[in-house]
Amino acid sequence: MAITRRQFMQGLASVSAGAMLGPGLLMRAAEAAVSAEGSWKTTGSHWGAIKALVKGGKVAEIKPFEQDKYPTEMIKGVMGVIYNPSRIRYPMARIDWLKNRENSDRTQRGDNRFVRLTWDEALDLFYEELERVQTTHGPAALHHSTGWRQTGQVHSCGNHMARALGMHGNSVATIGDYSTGAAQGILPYVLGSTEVYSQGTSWPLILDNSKTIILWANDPVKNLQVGWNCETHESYEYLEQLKGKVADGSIRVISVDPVRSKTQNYLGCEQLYVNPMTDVPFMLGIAHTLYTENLYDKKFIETYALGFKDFIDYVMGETDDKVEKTPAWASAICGIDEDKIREFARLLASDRTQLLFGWAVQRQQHGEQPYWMGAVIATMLGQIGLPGGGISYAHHYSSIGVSASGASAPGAFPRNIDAGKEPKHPSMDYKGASSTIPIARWVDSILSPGEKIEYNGSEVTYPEIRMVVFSGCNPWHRHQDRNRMKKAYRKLETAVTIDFAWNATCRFSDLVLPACTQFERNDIDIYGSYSNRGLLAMHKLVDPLFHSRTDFDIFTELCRRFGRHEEYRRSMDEGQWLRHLYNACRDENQKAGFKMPEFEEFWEAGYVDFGAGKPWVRHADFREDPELNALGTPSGFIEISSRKIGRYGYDDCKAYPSWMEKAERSHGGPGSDKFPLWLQSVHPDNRLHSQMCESEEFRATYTVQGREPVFMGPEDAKARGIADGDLVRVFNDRGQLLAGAVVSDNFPPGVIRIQEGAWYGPEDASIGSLDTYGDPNTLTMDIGTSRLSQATSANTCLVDMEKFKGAAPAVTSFGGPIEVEV
Amino acid sequence: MNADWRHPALCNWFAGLFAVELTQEQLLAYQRGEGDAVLSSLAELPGLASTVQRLRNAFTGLTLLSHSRLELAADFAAMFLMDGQNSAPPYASFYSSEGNRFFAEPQERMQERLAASQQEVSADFREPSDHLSVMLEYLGEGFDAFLNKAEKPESGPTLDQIKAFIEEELLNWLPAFAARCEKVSTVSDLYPALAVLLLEFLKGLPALDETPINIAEKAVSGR
Repeated sequence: MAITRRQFMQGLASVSAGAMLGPGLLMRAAEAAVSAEGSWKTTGSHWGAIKALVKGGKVAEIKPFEQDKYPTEMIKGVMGVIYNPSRIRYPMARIDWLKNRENSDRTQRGDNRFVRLTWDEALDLFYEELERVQTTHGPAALHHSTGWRQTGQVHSCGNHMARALGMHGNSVATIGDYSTGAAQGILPYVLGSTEVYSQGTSWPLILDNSKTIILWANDPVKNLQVGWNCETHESYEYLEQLKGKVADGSIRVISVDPVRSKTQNYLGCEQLYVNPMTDVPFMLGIAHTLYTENLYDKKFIETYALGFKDFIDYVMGETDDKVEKTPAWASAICGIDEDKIREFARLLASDRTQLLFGWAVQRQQHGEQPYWMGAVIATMLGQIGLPGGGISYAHHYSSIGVSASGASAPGAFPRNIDAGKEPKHPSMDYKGASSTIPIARWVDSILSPGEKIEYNGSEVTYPEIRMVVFSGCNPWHRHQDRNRMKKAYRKLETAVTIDFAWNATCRFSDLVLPACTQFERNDIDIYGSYSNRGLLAMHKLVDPLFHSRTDFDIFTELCRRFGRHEEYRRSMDEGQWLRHLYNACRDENQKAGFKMPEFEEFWEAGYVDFGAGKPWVRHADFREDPELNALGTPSGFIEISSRKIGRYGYDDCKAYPSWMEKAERSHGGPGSDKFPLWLQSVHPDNRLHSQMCESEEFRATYTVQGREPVFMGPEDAKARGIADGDLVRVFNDRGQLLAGAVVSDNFPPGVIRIQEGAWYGPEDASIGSLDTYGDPNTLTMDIGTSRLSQATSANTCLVDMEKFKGAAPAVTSFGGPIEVEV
Repeated sequence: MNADWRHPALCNWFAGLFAVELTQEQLLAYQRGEGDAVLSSLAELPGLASTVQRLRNAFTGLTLLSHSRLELAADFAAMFLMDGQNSAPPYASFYSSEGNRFFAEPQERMQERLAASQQEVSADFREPSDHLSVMLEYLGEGFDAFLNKAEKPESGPTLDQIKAFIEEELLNWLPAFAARCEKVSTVSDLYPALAVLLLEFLKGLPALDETPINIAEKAVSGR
């Protein structure tokens, strides 16, 4: 018998009762105020400032900001980030964690399914877990961390997370970072500051005064595409001028690098090939030549430096090892002909020479040594503090070397709890463990709580971390050795991630909260992290998509759960914070003579320009008066040898820079008989670390068969029967991955490259499973650089590779877990 | 077969099921057989009986699970809420544009349709206008308006316009959507079965006749 309408409607009412969403997904529209033409809005990003055409509530087109004369191709990936199919659309929780919380089956982490929560449910759970961990275990059990976050001063997500969690309780803090940890360890002892994040000698002075520029493992054309704040790309104007000077022979540029870099290809400059990880023997050979041929600046050393004798005794074989560091000795290790080493040393000393170091050489075991040796060579050359001379460790970063305007940058939403206030849980009882650990050692801490390590002259006891929170950070990209991370995550009770796309960090979490992208909120940012060229309005392009929220809202609502949301946001909303930061910046700049309009006028215009700054020479003040302008070293002088480091008694970072063999090294070094290829995992050319990897159309411009490229030279490819475009399995005893072969003459035998930031996508959660996309940190080694810095050693990594045969597994990097277990 | 009161009501029933997870209360109601009238009326439609049975079996199978609502919610998430890589996102744009992007041309067209009828997606739902449930509710309203034409002949779409919407805006992507739904690993067969059932239901609609409607069975939609 046919169902009557009455029966139908009764049944429908019955099964609809108590539905989570009331009837009616459509409602009467508010007044439509959208013009057909749309409107252009201004905003900024790590990739530069952009103009966006917003039509019908959607971003329709993106073009570079008019003032950016050298925009990066990467802005083509922005729309793919906003409208990405891997956006986290709702708050989600891992199902077994939801059922069993801290007693969940952690072996399922990374593979377990998720369920949707309301924001209230999700924030209640987040808060309950913080309460549980603080009251049951105390601050030693909680660790939270951020990374390269999205840009913007009001919404900087690391600040929001640190302030909110800091108002709730204390936690395990970290020191250093993954980019420059070894530099931050060693350079304060040698040059008195970390150097890597300091303004450098202005490019015009380098171009006017340098006769030789050494790019030491440095690829600025690749790396200057992105910046910490809104990148201006101003450095490219000077690189273009340098290209002209290389062409007309007025400046000689030599790239010391195993690989022919993007910068070398752009400038058309020379290359001096050096075996991977053997820069220090090469530098010792240079020092030997400078010393024995009397090419070093004795007066400069006497006036500005200490500890030369201890060092030169080592060079001359008069210390314990009794090995003279002759060019012939160096040549056998670094692969550079001994006469070439001498020639190179003579060239450096012959005229004004600017040394420009990249960061890759300190991201290796004993990474402190090449940086220390660089400073020693610069000191022997005696040109530190002269225009176009000396050493820089940062001209590839955030347009360092572009003169600072002198204007002040805006402040930010505060990172810390307000002065005079206490967290809800004020306990500082770390149960005998350290409250701060080196950042690259947090996985060690999870795996080996209670273990003691030496670090920078002190002892660190690993706390027992039970809960982690990450925001604006992808530790499943930046940390080394994925399989070791999997083991560590099986020990964690709770992992919370706030992000906007389903990366591996989300997949391995228990609670995932959807933040909106920076293009879905209003903000302001400095234009040029170091040049302070102007102030940029970051107009919201579209409302937060799906159920995502701003970090401001997320953490305000978290703080509401312990009654401190008004204190958290200082009773100001987004708009009030914008005006507050702008007006404070305006007041500051008016004192210094930089005019800024009223906020409304600025917001409408989208930008205020502070003009170009005046050229400046790094360490010129020290050179002028080393007593008055002493360095921050223990002695106030350049420390060629360090008594302080010597007193630590470390065998992996001695009192003077020295050569130490690596745990594994290609080209005849340890382990090269089993795994002959050196894998370098440099900063990517097409991403900012792992940011924008998810942008599908843009990713398709550089992937090979949908995988991250593995770059290799023709000899290594041929020896393994690999052709350009093949799928390749890259492996060692730590892990294995699939990548797509790019065969290029830029790469010498024994050297391959997979750029860091490729999203991790294992076949499954088991230890050792194949990474389907090509994350190099599946293969890298998770050891500290030395007891001094305990920094990452990502570039100490040997592998082998083979052509992949059989059916390739689908890429799993850009989505959530897929396994089903009941 | 003529369009009748069942069509808007079933559109809204489907819209509700694809919009949000079932609550414990709803699930128990289905398991008590309170949804039988709805399922039976679907089974009366040409060619749907076996898929309706598949759905009934799925509801029955859920009683075997210890956390049936949670597991079904995880199925819902795995099917519709996760990423574009493994799930079956319920958005027309995902299946129609290059790069499987959200908010592509189908969303723009749907936005224009809603604007033309002075409507927008409810603030609570916070989904793009090309979400399957929004499109189904829009379709249900279309049927409603068509069936009520006798009272308001000046408003509402023609049956041809409704059929065109089904063919051009729904049947152009729902086969791909349903195929993806079948591939997602789930504990229960409920949502894969539901996706197939919706596809078959919609496929039958272009065959509806243009004969005069039965005013006595005036449409009442609801969920």
